[in-house]
Amino acid sequence: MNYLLTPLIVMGVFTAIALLIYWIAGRMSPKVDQSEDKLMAYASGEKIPGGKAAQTYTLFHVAFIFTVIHVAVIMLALIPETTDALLALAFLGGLAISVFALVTGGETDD
Amino acid sequence: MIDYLWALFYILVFPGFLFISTLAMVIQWIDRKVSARLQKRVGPPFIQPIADLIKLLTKEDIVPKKADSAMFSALPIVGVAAVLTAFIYLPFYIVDSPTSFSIDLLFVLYMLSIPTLALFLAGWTSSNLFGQVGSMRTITQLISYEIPFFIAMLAPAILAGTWSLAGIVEYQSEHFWLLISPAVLAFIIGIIALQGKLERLPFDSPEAETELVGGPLADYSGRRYALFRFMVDVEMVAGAALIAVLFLGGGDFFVDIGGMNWFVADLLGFLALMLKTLFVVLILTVIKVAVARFRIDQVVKISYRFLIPLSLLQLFILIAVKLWL
Repeated sequence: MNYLLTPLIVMGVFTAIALLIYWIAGRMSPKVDQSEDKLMAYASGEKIPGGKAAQTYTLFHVAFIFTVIHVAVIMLALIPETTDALLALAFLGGLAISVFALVTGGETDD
Repeated sequence: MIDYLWALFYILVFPGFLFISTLAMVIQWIDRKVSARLQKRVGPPFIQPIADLIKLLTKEDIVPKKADSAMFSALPIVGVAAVLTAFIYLPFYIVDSPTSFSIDLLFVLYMLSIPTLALFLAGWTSSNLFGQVGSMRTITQLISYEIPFFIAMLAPAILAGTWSLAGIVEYQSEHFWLLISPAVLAFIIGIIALQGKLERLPFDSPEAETELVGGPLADYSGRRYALFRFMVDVEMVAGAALIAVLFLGGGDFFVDIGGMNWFVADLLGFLALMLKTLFVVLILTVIKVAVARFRIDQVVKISYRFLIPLSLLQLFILIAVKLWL
């Protein structure tokens, strides 16, 4: 592969292009009126201070399932190429049980 | 020297920046026009997407006082660069793809995760209540739909025994019947998960205008908002093209190219890939129009109760088929 087409260089070139667009657009757009009201975070016209939002569902539980399965899928994708695919089936069985336990274990009474 | 000039042309013109930008605008127009026609509306004129982009780029650009100004500026730039990079690593040439390497599928999948993370951080660092709620929904949706999307996209890789996109396309041209049968489920899961990744209806609760006035991007305006909009357009094209490559044979048009001129073969392959990408985009558009928005808890449940178990099941079937072969 031509070294100009390696991922790092390509990402660098595209970052430079995005920066160029950003800079040109900045030169073309009008100056911001620095009034207090304009620089406040949008809150439907109310003066509400910013703060942390409380969630009604458990993000940690969902994130934990994500981590387990994400790692497992990468392992699974590699198994058939390196050893016997039967091992992949056994691993998949274990993974299915884990997913079942995590999904049903996270249920609440309501 | 010629090689370097050609590589620059590849990055900047075709299939690089100029081509991707034009394609993203055209696909956005098709998406909006088809949506409108399905809802018995006229829809926008052809130049509307580019007019919207230019208008937004040149509008007043405000950074709220309490927002993290460095992140506020950097995130849209990083997001745009990531999706453009993901797109350029798709195999456009069927004879010899110049950007192909052994694990490019994995690279493209991870590059396509960056826009979602950028959106999450955009809302989180904006100090806006709507933005924070929207960004929490964005990250929840990311971790709900990323797994089924990954599993579905890896299915053809496991069958073909390679993580190279060009290798998978080559395998499909030799075993087309095989990728039709067990991989249909993966194709359907991939389409639904892509809709979730793109935060389009019915999975648009992170930005739900009527509740969250745009969610993570509630405080974005001007050039930063324009870049985010552009990022989402390119992400849709890249995601649809990825599905076309993995499940519909990419640039392969199922004709023997043995005696064909390489230029003609590549041109026909490129047209075939564009048509297949358009087909995937039209499916996404129909879903957007046909289904109403789900609540965020319903979105999570759909993923963990249905999509993930089904994607594991199709993986089980694929590995069994691989064993049988």
